[in-house]
Amino acid sequence: MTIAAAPGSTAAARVSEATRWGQLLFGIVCMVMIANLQYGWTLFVNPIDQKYHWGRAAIQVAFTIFVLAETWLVPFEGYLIDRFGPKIMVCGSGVLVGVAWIINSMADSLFLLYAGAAIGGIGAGVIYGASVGNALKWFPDRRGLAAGLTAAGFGAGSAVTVIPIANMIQTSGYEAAFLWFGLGQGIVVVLVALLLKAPQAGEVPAPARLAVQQTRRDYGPTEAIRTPVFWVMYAMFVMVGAGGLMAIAQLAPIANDYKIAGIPVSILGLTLPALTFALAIDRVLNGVCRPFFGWVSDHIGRENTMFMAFFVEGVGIYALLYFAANPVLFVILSGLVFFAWGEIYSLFPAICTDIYGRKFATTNYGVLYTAKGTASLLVPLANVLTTASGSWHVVFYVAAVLNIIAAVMALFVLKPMRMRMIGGS
Amino acid sequence: MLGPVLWTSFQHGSAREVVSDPSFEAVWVFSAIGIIFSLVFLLTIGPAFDCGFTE
Repeated sequence: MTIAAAPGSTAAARVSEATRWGQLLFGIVCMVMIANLQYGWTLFVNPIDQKYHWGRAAIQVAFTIFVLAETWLVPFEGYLIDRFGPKIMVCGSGVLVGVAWIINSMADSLFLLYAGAAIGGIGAGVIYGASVGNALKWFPDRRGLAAGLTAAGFGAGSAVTVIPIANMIQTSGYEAAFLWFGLGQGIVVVLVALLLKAPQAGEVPAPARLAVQQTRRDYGPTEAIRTPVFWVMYAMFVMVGAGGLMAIAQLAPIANDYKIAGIPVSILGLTLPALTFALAIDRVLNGVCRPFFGWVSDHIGRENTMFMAFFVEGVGIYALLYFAANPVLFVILSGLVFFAWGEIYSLFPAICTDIYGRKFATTNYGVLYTAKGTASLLVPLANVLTTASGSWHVVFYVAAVLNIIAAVMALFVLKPMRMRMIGGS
Repeated sequence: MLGPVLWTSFQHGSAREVVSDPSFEAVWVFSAIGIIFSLVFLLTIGPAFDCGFTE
């Protein structure tokens, strides 16, 4: 594999392994710092409602605004990151995520709460895009693993701070938790951002042999979105993302329907009520699966890994439909569903950069990443299906079928298209 | 000290080059269309992210 130097640029000396692993670590730290903006939010909803009585629905609109800004602005932000480098963009975004929670700590109107959510979403989108993009650029030889480790920082990052935040809300009020965690997260991002840099041509090792085929040229975003393979990936991302979201959203109704939600389940010495156990497993497996499947894809190829993961996901969802009445199987199968779902956030960025090159890796993946936003829009349609059919069974069939279709597409549509495209580049 | 440190991270191109780049236009249009479509959709159906939205 060769990596073309940017026109007019001079090749820099190759950096040490410690330098690029350091860059990966800095990206992961930034991801951990923004994880609370998404995963910690739920802790604040009830305290805010208790103080201002705005209603949960009105408060949750703030989260909707956050997700919209965090997802849909990534293409635009990614372009600026690719042009100007991660340092200045992430530094500025560290200020934004800090300011967002400081605004939340003082918000005495819904308008201010929504403004805080929008600012936080913009900042989180930049940090997410820059961290993943930098990992993709520094690790052409281990793209799946690097993207997976970085994405795991976001998926599992809040695990270490959820309890301290919950404790501070209880002892000092939610305003203090917003203020001090907002300040802390923002300051850490700003400081770490000063150490971030994108690799110059020649700084990254070009491995002689790779299990994964990679392009020899760099595609801009306008070129990328004109290629059919991009939209095949987009469709697959939406199908798997939506299928998983639909199934996960139905876990509580299933557990309640079968009356197993509160039944204690013991696995590996841990005993918890079945639904609590299933939801706890989400955090762990949703984080672990990203680097795991990313690493697997570095060795056996992206599409082969996609086929495996999406197929397991589809079968897991289908099996959950039939065995959910058994609390132990409910926990195990929901764990399997979570495990085979989160890897989309490592496999798609990796294959996107394999196909379209490094120069606009953040922008191109940013455009592809909006599939997450599209997928989330399909979740309410699942609720419509549930209401129309009177049960959640139809939703599960749809989710399982979407995953199986995506699995088959990975091998028989995406793989040949990707091989033809890279072969002709 | 912070200014020069940040400024050196600029990789290629100036702000003027960016705004005249068709790629820049494409990405902001893409982002804008996505947000507008999502808002219209959500105002019709209701908030999507209340249940089960995790990544």
